[in-house]
Amino acid sequence: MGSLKLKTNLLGLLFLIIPLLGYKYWIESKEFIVAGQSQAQIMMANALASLVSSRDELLTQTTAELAPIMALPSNQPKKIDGTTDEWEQNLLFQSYQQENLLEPVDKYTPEDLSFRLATAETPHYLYLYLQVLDDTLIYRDRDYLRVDANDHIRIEYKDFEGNTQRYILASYQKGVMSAYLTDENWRHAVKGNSDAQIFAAITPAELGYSVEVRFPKHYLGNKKQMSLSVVDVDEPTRADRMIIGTYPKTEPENLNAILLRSTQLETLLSQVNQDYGRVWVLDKQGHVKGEAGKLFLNGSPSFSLNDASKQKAFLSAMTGESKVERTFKPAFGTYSLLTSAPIKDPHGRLIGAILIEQAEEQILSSQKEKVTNLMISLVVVAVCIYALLFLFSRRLVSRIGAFQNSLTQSIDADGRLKNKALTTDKNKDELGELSRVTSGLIQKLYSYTSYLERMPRVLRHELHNPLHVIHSSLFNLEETEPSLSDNKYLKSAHRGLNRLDEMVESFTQASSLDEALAKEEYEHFDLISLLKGYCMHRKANDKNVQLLLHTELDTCPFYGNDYRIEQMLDKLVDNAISFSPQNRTVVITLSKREELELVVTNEGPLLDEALGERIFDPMVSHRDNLSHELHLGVGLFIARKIVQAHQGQITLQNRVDQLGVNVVIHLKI
Amino acid sequence: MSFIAIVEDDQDQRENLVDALVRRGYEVQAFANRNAAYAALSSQPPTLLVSDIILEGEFDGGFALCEDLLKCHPELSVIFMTERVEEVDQVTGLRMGAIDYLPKPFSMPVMLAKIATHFKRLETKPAQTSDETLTAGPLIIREAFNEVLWQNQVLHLTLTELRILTRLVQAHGRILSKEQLSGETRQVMVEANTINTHIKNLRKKFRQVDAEFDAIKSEYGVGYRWAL
Repeated sequence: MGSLKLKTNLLGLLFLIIPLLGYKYWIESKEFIVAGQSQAQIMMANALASLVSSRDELLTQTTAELAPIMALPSNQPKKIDGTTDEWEQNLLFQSYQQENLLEPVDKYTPEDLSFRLATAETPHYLYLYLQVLDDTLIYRDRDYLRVDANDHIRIEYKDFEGNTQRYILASYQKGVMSAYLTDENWRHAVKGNSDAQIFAAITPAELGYSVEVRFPKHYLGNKKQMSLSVVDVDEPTRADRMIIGTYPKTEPENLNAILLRSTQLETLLSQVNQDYGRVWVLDKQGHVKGEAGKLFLNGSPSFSLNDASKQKAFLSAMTGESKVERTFKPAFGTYSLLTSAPIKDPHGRLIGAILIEQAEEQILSSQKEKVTNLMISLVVVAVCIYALLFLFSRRLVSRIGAFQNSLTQSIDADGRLKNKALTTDKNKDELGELSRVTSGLIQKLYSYTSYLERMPRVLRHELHNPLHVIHSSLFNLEETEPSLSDNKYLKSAHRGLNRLDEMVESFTQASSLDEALAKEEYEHFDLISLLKGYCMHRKANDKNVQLLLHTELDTCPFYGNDYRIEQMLDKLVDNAISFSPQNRTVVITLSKREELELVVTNEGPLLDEALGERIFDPMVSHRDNLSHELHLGVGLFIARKIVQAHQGQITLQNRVDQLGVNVVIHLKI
Repeated sequence: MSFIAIVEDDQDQRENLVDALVRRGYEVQAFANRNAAYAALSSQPPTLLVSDIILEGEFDGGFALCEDLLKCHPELSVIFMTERVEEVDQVTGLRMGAIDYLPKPFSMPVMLAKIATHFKRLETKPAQTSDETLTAGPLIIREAFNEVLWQNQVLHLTLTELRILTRLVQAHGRILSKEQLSGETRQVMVEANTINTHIKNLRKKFRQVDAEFDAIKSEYGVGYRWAL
């Protein structure tokens, strides 16, 4: 049942495979895209390498072995107020502690003196931010002329001539500090005035103080060398001092290199690199000379060679080879492609490396977006098609169902047409056409059937007049020719005429039975009384009939039409008697379980089981021709009609003892 | 002049009936259609009109003729020969005593007997219908007036119902078989259910005035019995 609907729906489900195939395609193409991107990245890295190979920034290498001071590029100038405002992106501190003590001390703890340094650069200035740990902050005293008899910051750098310049930053109080150019002993200010180009501010903190400095880049020479040191003096003498610097004591002449990013290089990189993730240009020592682009859509980690994979990539580039590595980034939960390529100068010497890192997420993002959009469209389309198919199949099935219903309803259980035509499907498709064609056929069949059904009555009507003529003619013949009254031919003519009369009557009775039964009124009566009365009267009327009633019931209330039940008994008993010509004994048994079972049984010839249900059809008779009584085979037909009108069932069975036939009727209580 | 008018469009049937009646000494005039019959009979009415209902294509020709003739000759007696018994049964507007019918194919002896009865009645009680009253307990039947009273309430019965009831009551409690009762429908061959239907209708009409009515008993296998 409903399998057509199920099948269409299952077929419809196949559409859901399309998005699945799309997903599979996406997974497979992902590998392909990543592989393609790897190649593209190597090409890009090599292209960038040759592009930057001629840049001065990489050629101006510092030979210093000292740890450089890294300056991160800043896109905004900073307000010099001793706070970390505006520093967010640049607070990458380098720490200086015991190992950076320029003069030995007996006992050292970081709380005595240590500092952290963050550096940032803008096109014109170098910004320094120092966080100093110092147990006591000693400001400059107005009684002292010396600028070094207090806690102060020393800045040492090489100018364009290669001369070393020294500045002391000191202050009388919190706030703006003054920068004094001093002699090489850091003792006295060379000029009376402080240098206004170097701008600094001090803010005391809980465990020390912070100093923010703005230093003009044009003071620095080509080598961009600079060193910082923090000097701590203590009361009362202000003579004992502790100094921590960015350069070790052993090489006082060798200053730290300030590692400045080349903004030009970065502009160049960012112009070239639009879609290739994050690009770093490293010098031979692995110092970042420039970087551009974004590794992730939501920000980039700073470069550090501490990252094992990057170190590996850098080292590989420094062997002169280009390489792509796919690594997992646990912090971001994604894979990334890390490409490295060597940078060589025009003479073929290795001068640095290009590193490109790109997250797969970024590589695939555009494709992913496209594929996602495609998948969404596919799913939407598939769901729409499925929904349409579902609706279509429902409509189709309901139409077929309606067609089936109207077809089944047009024919009753006996195969008779009840309706003149079907309720037709108005649609102009094949199903509608089928419904209309069938309706047309039903219509023709109906008129033919009604013609056939009318036949017996028309026949009766038409036969009555000639029958009447024969009746009256025979009557007149007998009257006018008294000598013929014993004529055997006349007698046989009468007999034939009577049989004809009965036949016509039987025809009519059978054909109008349905109509008559439908009009019948039902009422409650006692079936036992009916059966008892019936048997008694039948026996009284016909001495030759042995009619026995077997039942254990005293009463049996029944809802039906008593006359019709009686008529049914008439037919069944007549039928049974005609089959048991010898002893003419008929037994009627009534028993009651879930249903009433009425059995009319007789001894006699067995039933030809091949006849099956056809035994009940009118004009079908299985008796031999020995019987002289009139048998038109309508008896069982009428009996079945009556049983069916009472919602019962009637069957004919050979008796188990093979001595006769049982008519078994089941009736609802 | 006393004569019988036969109106029948089938020549054989008409002649057979005419011959049989003439042999019995009746004066007979026969017509094949309504117009011829009306033309002749309207001025000179017969003692008895025996007519078919369907006349030469006129479906109600016999009824129409009867109605026309009764307008100018109300004393006219009519016997219809037809199988449309139900319709005749419903023609209650006509004087019932004067109307009878025989369904085709009828038996000639029955028809002749019926005609003889009519003439006898006309002779013994000229122009006077019988006022014979039949009573049985709370039942009063005046057959000639088609009047039936049960517990002093009027029942409206059809001609056949009245005849069946009369027959049952006259049997004084004896069982009447369906065959015996079928005579009252005037039909030669009666489908047994016809009697059953009439009995059902009779019971229904009685129960309309008396819900407890149960005087007409079914005797299964035979017929019916009047039992008060």
